[in-house]
Amino acid sequence: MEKELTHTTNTISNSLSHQEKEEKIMIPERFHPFFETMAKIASFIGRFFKNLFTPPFETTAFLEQCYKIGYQSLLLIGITAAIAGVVFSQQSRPSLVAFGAQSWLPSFVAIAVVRSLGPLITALICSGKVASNIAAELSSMRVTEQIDAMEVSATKPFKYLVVTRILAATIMIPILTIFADTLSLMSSFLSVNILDQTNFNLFFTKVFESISFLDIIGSISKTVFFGFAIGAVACYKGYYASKGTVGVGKAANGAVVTSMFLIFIIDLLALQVITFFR
Amino acid sequence: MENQLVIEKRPVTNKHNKEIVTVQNIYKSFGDKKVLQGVSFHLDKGENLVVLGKSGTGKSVLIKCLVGLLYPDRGSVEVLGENVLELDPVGLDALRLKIGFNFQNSALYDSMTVGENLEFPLKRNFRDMTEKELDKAVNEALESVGLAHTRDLMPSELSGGMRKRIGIARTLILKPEIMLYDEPTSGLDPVTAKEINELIVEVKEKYHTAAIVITHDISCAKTTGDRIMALAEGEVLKEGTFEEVSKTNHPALKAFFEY
Repeated sequence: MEKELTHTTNTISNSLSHQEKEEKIMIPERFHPFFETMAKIASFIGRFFKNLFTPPFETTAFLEQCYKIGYQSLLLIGITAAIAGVVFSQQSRPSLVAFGAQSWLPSFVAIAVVRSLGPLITALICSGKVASNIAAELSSMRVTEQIDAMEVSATKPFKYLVVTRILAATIMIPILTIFADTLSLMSSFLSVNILDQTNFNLFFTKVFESISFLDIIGSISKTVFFGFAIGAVACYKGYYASKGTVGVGKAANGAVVTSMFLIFIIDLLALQVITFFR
Repeated sequence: MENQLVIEKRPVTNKHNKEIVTVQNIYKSFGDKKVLQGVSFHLDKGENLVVLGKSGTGKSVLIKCLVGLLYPDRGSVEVLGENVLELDPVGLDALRLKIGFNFQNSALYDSMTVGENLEFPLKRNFRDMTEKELDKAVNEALESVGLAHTRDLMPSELSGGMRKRIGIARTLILKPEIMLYDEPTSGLDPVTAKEINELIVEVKEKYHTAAIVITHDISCAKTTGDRIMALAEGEVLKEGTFEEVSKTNHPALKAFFEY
């Protein structure tokens, strides 16, 4: 199976012989690259799940990736989330004050942060930081034949390089989101406290009263998909980068653009699912 | 039809025990670009075969087909008694452990030290090896290429020649039966190139390996090759000893030797 997949990826550009093109393929030729890419993505994801559950497990490499993706993103995510919390609460306050609904501010901020702001900020920052990093790293390795060198020494680079990164992104991005949500709410409290002298207990009681179990589960669930999308897109773009330094740039850029786009698509789909259960 | 005739002439089954690589009539194209067009050759045990040809004649593609990095569109590839095209992933990995592939740019893992580069294939293929055994194997491999002092250096701190040597050490650590060298002297000054050529011969004598050396460097071909196979436009032009091949009248090859 793996040989077939390798074969597919290696010969994807010339997998359709002239005879096949003439006799079997009825799809217009301009759509071939699209379907080839779709097949390649499907086989890539299939290969990920196959390798994910096949021992031996790459525990050390996985933990190393968790450190890189999770721990090394803490500062950036933390600062951004804190700023977002302050900005959102200060921008919302005048509108609420105008309607005499100032006391709703904690609930308003909490719902926005937990349901959408926190997950989106975290995922978009990770798209820029993590996805570009992974894609650039893997594509450099591809271009300099380091991945081929791993392949020919039977070291299973897909498992070592791809599975560990996708899994780490899938696990770390929900954790980073919880961290971002917490910091956003804390910064929001500080911001509100400066203007309104709010009590910490009162603020957070309002916060927890306004968010439901479904909000938390829904939010964390969609960040799992965000993480998977970021990891998978970045690894795919990097692992199958074309030759040359241009390929590295294209892989990094493609990883960021595609993962950001996917994040919004997933967010939209998640909203429909959560609304259905609400 | 033409392919069938060639296959009949050279059966897939290895008649000679000493033949460890048998490639028959392989074709490989990338889109409309035909890279290999019916290449057949064999490699005997303990032999160094040089594949000589200009850049872009399909030399690297040819050896990548031997280890399953690329698959030919047609033809058969038999290495150490295994049909590469029919091997499952486990079988392919087992075969790859018996083949040492040296890349043109050495392909050292640049995030690891030299020592870690050498340990990497061992750790991942022989998970029960102790630290002491790993240490010993790494030291032996580094000593065999004369670079024992580079263990803690990063690949970026090495010269081109040193990188080539470390690349060879990384393949030797798995004790392969066949060595594949892709342009081993490209980008090197003549003195370093000569050292690498000598190392290739030394590896053959010390480790009793067979090798396929891909090159466009005449001095490399002359020093390292027991037999030369000249390739042009994806086809084998001539095969024989260096002297035999150098006497050819084929324009593409003659120009090569006259240069």
